[in-house]
Amino acid sequence: MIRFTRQTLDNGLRVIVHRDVSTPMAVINMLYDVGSRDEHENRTGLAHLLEHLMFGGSANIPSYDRKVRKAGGENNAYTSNDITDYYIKLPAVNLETGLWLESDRMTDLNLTQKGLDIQRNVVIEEFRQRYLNQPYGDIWMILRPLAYKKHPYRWPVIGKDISHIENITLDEVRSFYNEHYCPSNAILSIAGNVDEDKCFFLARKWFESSGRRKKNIRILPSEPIRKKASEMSVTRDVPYHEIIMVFGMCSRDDGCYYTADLVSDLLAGGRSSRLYRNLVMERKIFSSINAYITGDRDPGLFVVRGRLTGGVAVEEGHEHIKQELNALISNPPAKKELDKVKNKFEATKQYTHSDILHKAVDLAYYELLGDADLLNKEIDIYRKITTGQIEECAGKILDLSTSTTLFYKSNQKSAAH
Amino acid sequence: MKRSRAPKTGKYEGPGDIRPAVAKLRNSVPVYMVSAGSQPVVKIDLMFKAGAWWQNKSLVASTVNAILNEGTIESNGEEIANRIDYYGSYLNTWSDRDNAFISLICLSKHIDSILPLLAEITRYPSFPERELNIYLQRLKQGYITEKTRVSSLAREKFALALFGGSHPYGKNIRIQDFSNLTTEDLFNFHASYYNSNTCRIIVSGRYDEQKMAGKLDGLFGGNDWKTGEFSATTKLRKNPSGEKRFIINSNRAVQSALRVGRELFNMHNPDYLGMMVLNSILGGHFGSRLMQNIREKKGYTYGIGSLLVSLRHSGFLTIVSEVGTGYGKAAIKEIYRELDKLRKKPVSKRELELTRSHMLGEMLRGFDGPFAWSESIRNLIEQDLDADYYTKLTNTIKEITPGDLQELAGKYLSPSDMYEVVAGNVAVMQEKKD
Repeated sequence: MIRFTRQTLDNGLRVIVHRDVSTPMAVINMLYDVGSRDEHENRTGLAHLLEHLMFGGSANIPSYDRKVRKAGGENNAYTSNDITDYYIKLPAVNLETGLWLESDRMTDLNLTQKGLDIQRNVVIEEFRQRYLNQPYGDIWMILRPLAYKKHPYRWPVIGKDISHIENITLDEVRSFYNEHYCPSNAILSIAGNVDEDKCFFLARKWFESSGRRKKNIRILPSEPIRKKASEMSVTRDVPYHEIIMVFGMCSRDDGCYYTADLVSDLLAGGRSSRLYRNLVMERKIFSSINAYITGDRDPGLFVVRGRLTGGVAVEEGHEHIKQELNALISNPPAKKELDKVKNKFEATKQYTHSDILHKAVDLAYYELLGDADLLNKEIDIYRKITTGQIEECAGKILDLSTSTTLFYKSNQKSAAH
Repeated sequence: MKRSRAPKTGKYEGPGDIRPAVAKLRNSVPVYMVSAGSQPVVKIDLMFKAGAWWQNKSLVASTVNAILNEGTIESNGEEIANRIDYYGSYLNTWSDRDNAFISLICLSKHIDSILPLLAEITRYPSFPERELNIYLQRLKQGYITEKTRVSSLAREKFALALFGGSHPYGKNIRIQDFSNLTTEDLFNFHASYYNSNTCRIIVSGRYDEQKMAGKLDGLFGGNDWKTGEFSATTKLRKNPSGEKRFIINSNRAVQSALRVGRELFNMHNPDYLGMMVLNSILGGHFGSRLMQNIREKKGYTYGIGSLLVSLRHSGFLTIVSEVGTGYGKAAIKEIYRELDKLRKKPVSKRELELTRSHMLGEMLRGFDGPFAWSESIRNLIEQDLDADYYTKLTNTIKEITPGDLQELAGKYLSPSDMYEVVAGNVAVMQEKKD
């Protein structure tokens, strides 16, 4: 049970506080309800580039990093399709320094041409390092536009293409910041050895002057229902073939999300899972295989991804995956198998929450979903899922006639024998 | 309210008394107890002196460790996986140059159900041939895939250059090694190195200390898994390369992987503590000199850092980055410029104060929560050090002077001692005069 208190400031900033006296530290987590899905299709990568620029100092704080270090803190951030999240972990006595830092960059960020030019370069190197210079690194670059035709999930967070990042102007960055980085579009969560009242007092002190700005209502094109299967093959200079199959599924807010999560765990959660046992250890078709859900706020994807054993043809691997997906319906899990994945979910949650950072991150995210208290209800929600629901969900989502499949083929002899 | 007025930063204490309670099993295996945390989870780490250092055949140490859970004299791999997953627990095994680890995480309420299995896996593995072959096949695929990454190529070459190809820290894996292992090799290695002589146990999270000690004593406390003599194999000498600069070609690379560094020493050397501070300033974090210069000023890279590694029989410093093809030369020039600055100019008072507060905060985080804490303790045990080491580190952080740092830089950061590896697309590098 994670107890918390919450308040909304006059300017719309939602504040959540969780007290945990077992630590001398505090975490300040600031979630902005903006991600790559809010970008224009010709300026993809903007949300993430702005995340980099958020470390470039603000009106009263020329060097963000220096102040964090002075306070003994550590900080980082990440951008997803849906959100941009910033956190600082620091000794609890320096809580106010953290709030000052966050409030200043929410209120008046330094945006300069020079800063933009450098971070643009850094992000381009990030693009190269993570997506171009890694074997299999461009899979999602290819897969996203295959799986999505209309919705902005069709481009990756880093951007569609390096040229997009190169073309972003300072004005565009500024107007994106002005539109999305405002109190009413953010959730502040604080966890650690802190006093609740003091947290709310300090939050008001530092954030209330950050005026209410009007937030645009989000209207995104919805993805049409996938009515037929689609396939694509690419050949790359990698040693082994991969197969990636994706299926459309519900959004994070939908009740079906939890069931789909368990379906993916039945398939690939741990070494006792069906795909691992049957296709890696038993039949040796794949050297590794995974299944997971993307968990996006708009309707997301159910992903099955495997790397083939050398000598196995992609068609053969594909057949085996299909058989395993069908087997979920023809051979649904017995109680013990279902209990197993529920137990695993419970353990993962408890382990994750033994660190205040993850508690703070989760509290803000669940509040964004509608209610931070969902965090305390989830284990029960998972517990109540029945085999019948699993069958129904698997039948609905894992429909082979609507799947999108990428065959990522190797051109090397290692793949052939 | 004036936003320009920064709130006062407060003084914070170090992590305080971080010494874990220590229980001894009947056979003297020590159990370090870290009881802390807010959630009903417990983690048990077993550590053995059974890393690559001890093997006389490539891949033996890591393979023994990796397939412990593929079968025991009582259960097969599938049964083991089912039991571990059924109780929602996680079993991780890994090994490095010096040590081997078996780590179990589970809900406190299930510990009694799963603990006997941990002992079974650790003490009575059956190393089935079929599973061994599957494992080696998958490992080989991983190895072949790794070879396509410039960062892996640079890392391998760097180790080889520092220690030489016959030394356990320098030796590179070759493709034929994957077809050279037998189950007999595994049984022999397991019998010699997974035993109570070198076993260390760390338990962290929420649990009853007394009950836990009793259970562990029943499972691991017997005198029946000692080896007669702990075989300290004599190792070949280090044979560092005379050549110090290496370029490795990788045809399709769009970035070059860089490694610059040298052999140093391990945590037992009196200069190690000061070097930790120096390394932090040089490239230990986002605000460090290398990161600020080469990423934040020049934009050559997504990331650059320097790493101080302590091993049982040596240690080294390495600067690591991947830079756009075309920026390699310029980045290396800047790396040397930063090394040079540390040697020629004392660190300013302001920068040193920032480093002190940063590192003290880092230490505090190292003991925040039961699992960070147990990991910090494990790092010491690995090196046969005790918790007093952190007191010494705290003192060094608080007391080291710019003069001390400059002296260390003069001693250890000389460009002529540095090895340098660049892995990237040589043709494009030449075209771009990189």
